[in-house]
Amino acid sequence: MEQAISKLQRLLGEYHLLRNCQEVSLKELTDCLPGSRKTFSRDLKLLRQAGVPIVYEAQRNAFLLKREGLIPAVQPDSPAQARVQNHLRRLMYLMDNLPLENCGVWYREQFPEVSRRTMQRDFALLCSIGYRVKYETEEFNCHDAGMDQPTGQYYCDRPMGTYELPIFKEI
Amino acid sequence: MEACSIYGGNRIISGLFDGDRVLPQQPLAWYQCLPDLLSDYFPVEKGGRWGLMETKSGRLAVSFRYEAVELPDGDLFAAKDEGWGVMDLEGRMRLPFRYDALELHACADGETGWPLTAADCSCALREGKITLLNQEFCPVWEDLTAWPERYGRYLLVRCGNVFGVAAQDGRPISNITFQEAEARNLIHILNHGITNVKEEKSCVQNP
Repeated sequence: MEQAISKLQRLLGEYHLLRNCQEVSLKELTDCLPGSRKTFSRDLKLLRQAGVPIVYEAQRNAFLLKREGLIPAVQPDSPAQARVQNHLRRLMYLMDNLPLENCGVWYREQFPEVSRRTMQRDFALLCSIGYRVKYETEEFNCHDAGMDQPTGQYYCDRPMGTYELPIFKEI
Repeated sequence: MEACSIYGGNRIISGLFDGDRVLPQQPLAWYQCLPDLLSDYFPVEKGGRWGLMETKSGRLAVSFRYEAVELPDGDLFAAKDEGWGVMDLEGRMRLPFRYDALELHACADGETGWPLTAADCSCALREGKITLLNQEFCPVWEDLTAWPERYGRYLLVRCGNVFGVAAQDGRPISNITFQEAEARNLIHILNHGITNVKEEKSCVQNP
């Protein structure tokens, strides 16, 4: 049975394919993710507005990224759209740049204005699409070290294969 | 001989630069087996600066002076030097380097919804707003809030909640004062010469 995924998860899945493949065809998108041609057309427009440098190469009949990373976004019409766009850009930036260790510290350096709770939500969302960000406590006796609470840090495991995201349909 | 990198799509090939020509260290095999994809030029990078090399001769057509370059379209290419602008292969500046992003001779395809399609106009992004540039790279509108969409020979342009129409070469056809449906209807009339599908049907049913 096809699993239900949110629009944000679908957008991030599309971004994952684009950044990990030299080119992505419409068939590949529809094979991997739930949605119609119109849905993907809208999504790609949204990604483009958010600063993903997607181009359509008619010769190859495929989409590809013109360059790595994000370009500046088009300013949305409303503050609500701006919030959604900022969130999407932040998550795509995390997919591109999240380090394997000390993710929490790195995140707070990159986004000092974002709350800790939002960071946890972002990490949970990334986990749901297959970028496993997990918190692990250090294995030592915190009482001996003079601490009340055990310390720990966030680690990130990126998906091993391009097509191994849990949100992708089984082909 | 100095080391350089030749960039083609997502593939980077190392090369050597002898002061005039770039010599690829690996054959550009992936492109040579797909000759229709073989471009006349390739972006090439040395010491963090970019230029363009001629594919067949290896001659450096544009020296290593830009932060980034894109493949030429005709004799024009987009280059970045603090901001994005347009140069020609003779070295003349056609559009000043002041944009955050630039699509040379391209806009969104409204009919398929695909992100970019060829057009005679160009689009540039600056401080979150899009500028539509005509064939001479003169700004037509500077405060658009979405990438212009091409429908046939015309463009649907948007500024907030109001819309307008331009020809695909960037010439303005209307002011940006329409509701979306009105602008789409105008494009339909301009492309097909009939007002809309409903009227077309009613004409057939009630001659």
